[in-house]
Amino acid sequence: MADLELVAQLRTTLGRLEAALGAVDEALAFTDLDGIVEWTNASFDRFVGLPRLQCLGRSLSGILPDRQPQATAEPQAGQPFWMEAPQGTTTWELASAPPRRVIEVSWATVNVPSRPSLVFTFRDQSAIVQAQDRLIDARDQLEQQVAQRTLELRQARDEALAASQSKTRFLATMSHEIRTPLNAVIGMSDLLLASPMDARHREMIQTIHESGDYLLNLVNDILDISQIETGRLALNPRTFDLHHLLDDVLNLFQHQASIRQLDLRLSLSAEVPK
Amino acid sequence: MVTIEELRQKSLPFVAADRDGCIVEINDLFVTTYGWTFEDLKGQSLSMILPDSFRDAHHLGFSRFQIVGESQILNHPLELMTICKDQQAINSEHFIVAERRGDGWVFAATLRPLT
Repeated sequence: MADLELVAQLRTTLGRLEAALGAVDEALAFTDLDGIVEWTNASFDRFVGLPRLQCLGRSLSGILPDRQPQATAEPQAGQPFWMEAPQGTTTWELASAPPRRVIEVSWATVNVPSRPSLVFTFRDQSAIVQAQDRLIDARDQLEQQVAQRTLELRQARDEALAASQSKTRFLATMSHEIRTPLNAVIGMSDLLLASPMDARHREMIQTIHESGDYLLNLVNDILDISQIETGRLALNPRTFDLHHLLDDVLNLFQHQASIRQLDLRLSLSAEVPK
Repeated sequence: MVTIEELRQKSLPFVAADRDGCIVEINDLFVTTYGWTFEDLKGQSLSMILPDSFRDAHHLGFSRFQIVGESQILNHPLELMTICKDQQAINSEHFIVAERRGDGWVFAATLRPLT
């Protein structure tokens, strides 16, 4: 009776063990030392696509899914992978095209004296690998977008620079071309002012002469801007009379103000430096 | 659902086992097909007529069935190997059924040789 109870207890233990191993996600298989399958769990049956009864008694190598050629060859051609060491871990790529299917395979020798065997674990790493692949794809796409955007910005900058340089060249050329006839206007009006004439004509020639000077200064300023943009402007610091400069500005606009019947005056406080 | 009695009536090698999986009956066709006598097998585990590589899985699966009462191998034909008395393995079609007896199960199978 005691024996029957012990057998019943052992049956229960074995049954619980079988049920527990059948519930784990990892695919498990026991084989003898030649790799002949002696036990599998439900995950293994799903992994190889065969019911347990069609796995038992067969060579493990014969029922495992085909895997992609490995970068490193097995130690000896034709030798099962588990022969390279009593225990180990390796990774198999079952499908190299996305979505990749990658399995981590572990094995160990179970040294039971009368009947040594091998236990294998097949752990599906596909979800992790596929997530990594998606991250790498996202990073690559982002890098491509950044490179494309950088190229576009560089092209836009180059176009803007080219346009600015064209404008600068145009301004420099035009300013130079304007100065020649302007100098003639100023020179001729200068000569006229040296000639005898009535006061009304003198005032008119004087205005032509002063406006010519003003226009020449403007053209020179434009030339200065061109030289600033091309980096060729050389500053020439010098002392000048601020009050005299302000008087010149007043005189320059006095005539236009009087035409519009405006009273234009210059008022300087005592703190304005000379 | 096929019963043990219906299996017993077929003209096929037949074996029956008690709640512990120990053989309690074989028919004459079983003796002539596989060479075992009833004296050879009486009280022995069913695993005795299975290949070595099936024994661990048999004991584990049998034990699990005793607890949960579910099995993938009952009530449909299965192509398996049967071990003869001379240890020759014969490819055969097994049809296994289980029936409630009290608080336990008893088992029976026909084992039709395929070669």
